[in-house]
Amino acid sequence: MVPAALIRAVLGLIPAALAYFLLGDTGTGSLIALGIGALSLLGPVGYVLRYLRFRYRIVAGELQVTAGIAVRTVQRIPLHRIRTVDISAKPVLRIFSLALLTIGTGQQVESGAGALTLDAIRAHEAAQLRAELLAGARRAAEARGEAVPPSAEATQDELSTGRADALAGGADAPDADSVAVGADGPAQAVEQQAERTVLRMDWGWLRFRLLSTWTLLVPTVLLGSAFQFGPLVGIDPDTWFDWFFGAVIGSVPPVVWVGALVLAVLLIGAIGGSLQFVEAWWGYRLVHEPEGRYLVRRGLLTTRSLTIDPERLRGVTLSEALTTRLLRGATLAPVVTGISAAQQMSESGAMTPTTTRTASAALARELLDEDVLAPERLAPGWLEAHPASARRRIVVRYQLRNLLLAAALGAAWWFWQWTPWLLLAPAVLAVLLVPAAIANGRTLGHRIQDGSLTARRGFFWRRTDVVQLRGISGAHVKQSMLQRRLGLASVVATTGAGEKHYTVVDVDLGTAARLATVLGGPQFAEDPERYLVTDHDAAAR
Amino acid sequence: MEEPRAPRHRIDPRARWYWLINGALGFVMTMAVLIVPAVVWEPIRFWFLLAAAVLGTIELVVVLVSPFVRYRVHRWEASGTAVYAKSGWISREWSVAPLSRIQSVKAKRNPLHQLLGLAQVKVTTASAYGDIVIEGLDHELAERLVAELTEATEHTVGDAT
Repeated sequence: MVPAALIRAVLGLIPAALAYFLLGDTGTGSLIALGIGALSLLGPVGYVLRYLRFRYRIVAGELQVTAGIAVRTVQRIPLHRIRTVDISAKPVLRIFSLALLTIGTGQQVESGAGALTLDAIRAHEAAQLRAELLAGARRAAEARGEAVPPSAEATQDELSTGRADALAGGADAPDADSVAVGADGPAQAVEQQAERTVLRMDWGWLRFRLLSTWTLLVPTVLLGSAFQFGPLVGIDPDTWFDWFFGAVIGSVPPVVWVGALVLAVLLIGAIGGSLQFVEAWWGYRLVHEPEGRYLVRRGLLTTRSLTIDPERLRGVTLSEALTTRLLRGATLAPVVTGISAAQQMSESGAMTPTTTRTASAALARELLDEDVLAPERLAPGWLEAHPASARRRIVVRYQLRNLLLAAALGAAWWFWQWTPWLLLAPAVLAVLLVPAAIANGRTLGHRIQDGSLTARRGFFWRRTDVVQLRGISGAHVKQSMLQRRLGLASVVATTGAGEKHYTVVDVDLGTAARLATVLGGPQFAEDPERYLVTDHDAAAR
Repeated sequence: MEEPRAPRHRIDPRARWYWLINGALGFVMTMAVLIVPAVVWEPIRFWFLLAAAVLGTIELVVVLVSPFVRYRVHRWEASGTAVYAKSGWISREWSVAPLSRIQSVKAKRNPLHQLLGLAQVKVTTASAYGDIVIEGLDHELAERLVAELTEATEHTVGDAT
């Protein structure tokens, strides 16, 4: 742990060193370098101090973590509260065979505080601790009479599967899959045969990444930072631009230079996107563990793992961005209870990269034991369509946003003399957004079938949510002013799982009331049998 | 177009005063933030006074109208199966939290509540978006409601987490 902190400190000093060399040995230059250096040392030093007397133990049904020298902090988490235990390891940690343990609890869900992390645990200890915590959590839940999955006692097997090596060594480590074939002798084959690969990497999925907004975003960010940091290194991007616009634009036809510029941006985006994709998804495997949980392992430099407990699964979300949709791609995300929204949204919280629609549907069937994303369900007609007035609301919403853009560009023209040609953008958008709004209106749909709510919306980012009714903890019918005029309403199903609320947008008010009755209870439609605080009743009416 | 059923009880009539005083305090704060710098510092005077005039007019209308509309719209009920409430003044919201999903029930009284003998009851579920807030209940009634709801939810199992 201390060596890891040292390396972090050295790495952290790089910006300071850079600043020293780039800004020269001038008075201010040294001061800035010194400042950056001191700031970058704060992190690692604090890190060492926090972990110098770092202890954890499992005792009396809870996990106790004590840390710190001057200020001792003690954290105690009852085992039955533990929902997920995930292991990840950044390169610095991996050099020393260390790992980071992230423990998700149901209690922290509301505060959004994320999860408790145990940093710099020895990799093999991390795997063992994960198994112990999950087994303990299961036993504790069992003792409390909560939902208990079958084969809880099988968790001990996990201790011997060599997961620590796999995580510490990343893709180079012995692959559990190859063992399962029986190459390394019958004993190991028997021990590991139950770990079944559900989904593995298909590098063809890179195409979805390349045709995404990222491809345009990365070069834009790069260009932005070039302007920001270029002058520090003695390169002035402005002179490049002057050269480019002055010399090049004047001498070659516009088609050539515009083409070259677009090509350059796309190329940079493609290379950046590919590198990031390879780093994030190297060695990706989603396996079904013998005890029933699903485990995702991936990452080239930073290894990440994600556990999905089917007992805590309440549905799935299928996202299809416009560009992804053109290639028949989709991204599937699980809707799980007991993890915070922050954990769900985090980079390591992704269950799959963007895959094909078929692969996503197959995975959803595997996870939920039901073909919730079957082709006939995604085809038009299965979901209940929303009224035509919903389409009108989308048209209005799109045009209002467009108007805001126009106003902003107009103000920029008026106050800062930006070129008025920029106003062409909202003018063109005003036309393009009409078919987009109509397509969006057609996308809207909902249906309650076999104990799940399915809701679909969005055009640029279409999403299909499938949420089981057993995971829903309340319902709201909401009407904005415009919705009241159009006789529309949105139904929000609230839940402790996933994004905590799932919305059916723009149905007519009567339908909304009926939906809410199914999702939240009969109160929306009929009088209850018995009221509370009835002694107050007469006075209150 | 059948609306969802209206919950059984209206809120306490004093709730109008609560919203009115609360809004008036907010109005005074906004004005102070905009007018004091305008008086002190000449260069920004025009723009800050303009902002004060525009925002002040809007806020004044909201402060004077919304309490009375809210009092007519807001309703609530608690039954053996759920807490059900309706709220909003230019928008509308009907919310249900089934008793079996309720995690906590709290009554809150800030100084203004105490002055008027009112309380706010907040019902939370496992969802960060599932809170039901009933504003403007008589404080004794609120206490009884919290007690009865806590008692009733103890007999239910599971909160869908």
